[in-house]
Amino acid sequence: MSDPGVVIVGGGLAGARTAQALRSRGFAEPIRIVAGEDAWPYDRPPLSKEFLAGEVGEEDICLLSADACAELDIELMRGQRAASLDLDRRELLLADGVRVPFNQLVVATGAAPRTLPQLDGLGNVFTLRDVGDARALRDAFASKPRVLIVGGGFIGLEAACAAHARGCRVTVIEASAQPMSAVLGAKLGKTIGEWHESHGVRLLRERSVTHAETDGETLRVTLSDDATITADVVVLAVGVRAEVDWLSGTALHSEDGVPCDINGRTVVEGVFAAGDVARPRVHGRSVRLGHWTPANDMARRVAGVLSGAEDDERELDDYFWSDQFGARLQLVGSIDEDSELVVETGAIEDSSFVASCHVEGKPSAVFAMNRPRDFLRARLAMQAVTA
Amino acid sequence: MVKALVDRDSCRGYGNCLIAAPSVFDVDDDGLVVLLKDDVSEDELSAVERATYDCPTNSITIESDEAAEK
Repeated sequence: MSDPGVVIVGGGLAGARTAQALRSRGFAEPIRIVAGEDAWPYDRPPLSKEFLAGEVGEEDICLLSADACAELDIELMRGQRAASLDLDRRELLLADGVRVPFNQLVVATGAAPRTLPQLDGLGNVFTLRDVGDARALRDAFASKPRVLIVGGGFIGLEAACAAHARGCRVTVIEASAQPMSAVLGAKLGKTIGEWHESHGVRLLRERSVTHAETDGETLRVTLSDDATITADVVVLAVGVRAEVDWLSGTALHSEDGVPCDINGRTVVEGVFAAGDVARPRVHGRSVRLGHWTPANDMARRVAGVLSGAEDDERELDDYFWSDQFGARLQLVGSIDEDSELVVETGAIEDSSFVASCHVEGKPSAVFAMNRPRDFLRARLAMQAVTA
Repeated sequence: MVKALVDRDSCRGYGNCLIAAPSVFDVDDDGLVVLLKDDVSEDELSAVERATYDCPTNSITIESDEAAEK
């Protein structure tokens, strides 16, 4: 029987980069990627930014083309969903019943957008995760609809920018006191919220959806304060959940993502996790990192372990960026609400600053708005301290 | 010797190259990549390879001397 090699489940950034990094390390065994989508692997960050705004197309965001797969001898099984996993026989079962054997497995199935039961089954309600979602939403923005965005996290706020750029009237509702506060804390969240309001976005804080109905075209959405909003397009941006259903019944299964070390090792020998589905320990916390740079970093580490390199003991790179109304937002580390936020350079009121958080005298987070160069200096310094 | 090449048109200023190889890459005030040196030493090669891999816009390429002289 031929060598089953490495099977990577998931054709997003983590899956594609694991395969590429394996080949660049001279890994010679077969590599097979099982990808749920029909599209060739593509880069996701532009979907809520330039792609949604209509500035770039699908050809501009490709990560791993058919030619690259052929050149690197990577087999890509597109449009194939993993249904379950048989760890005793070391076989992956696909939705169509096909069994895929493996020596080593990389779990990189990512995450799926959460939905709201109040909006289930209604037309003109969109989520934003894959290229199909982004294409549908981009097309929906073309007629300049009234857009309601549910959720003021970074996906919701980037979608707000794209919709605004296309000439739509935009309302964002956020359940907590400030947008982006889950990642940035309330103080920086307030700054970002005001930035959006100054650009014409209507932002309703501490509001959630209680009910929604439609006449087939227009949606009437009732909020927790009994206000009603009329919208032609609703975007659900209320977070994601790890794509782990296919792992149920195995030791890998956990609703919050697959626990692993910073090199992607799980509790099962020869099974690794990378990308948004993985839950590694970072800065002492076990946390899913739904961003480009940590997914890319984990893919590199997993490829290293699989090809026999020594473990990378450095902290995972949890850097994250967002582009909102011309402002570049950048964060590394995690902001602790209880510790003081110190402005290092610039001024918050000028929408151009670098701020940092310290825990026990060491920097725990650096955030910047419109200060890319100063941010990088601070990011380098933080890396030197925590290395 | 090898050379690092940067494409400032596709660069979006995410800065991962500077983190990977600070002796070779910097950014300007707009955050766009700037090359600090043309030739990459053997000691720096793995860091530059890392920068190439870490770039979200594939704006960095490595060129070997033989290719550069053609």
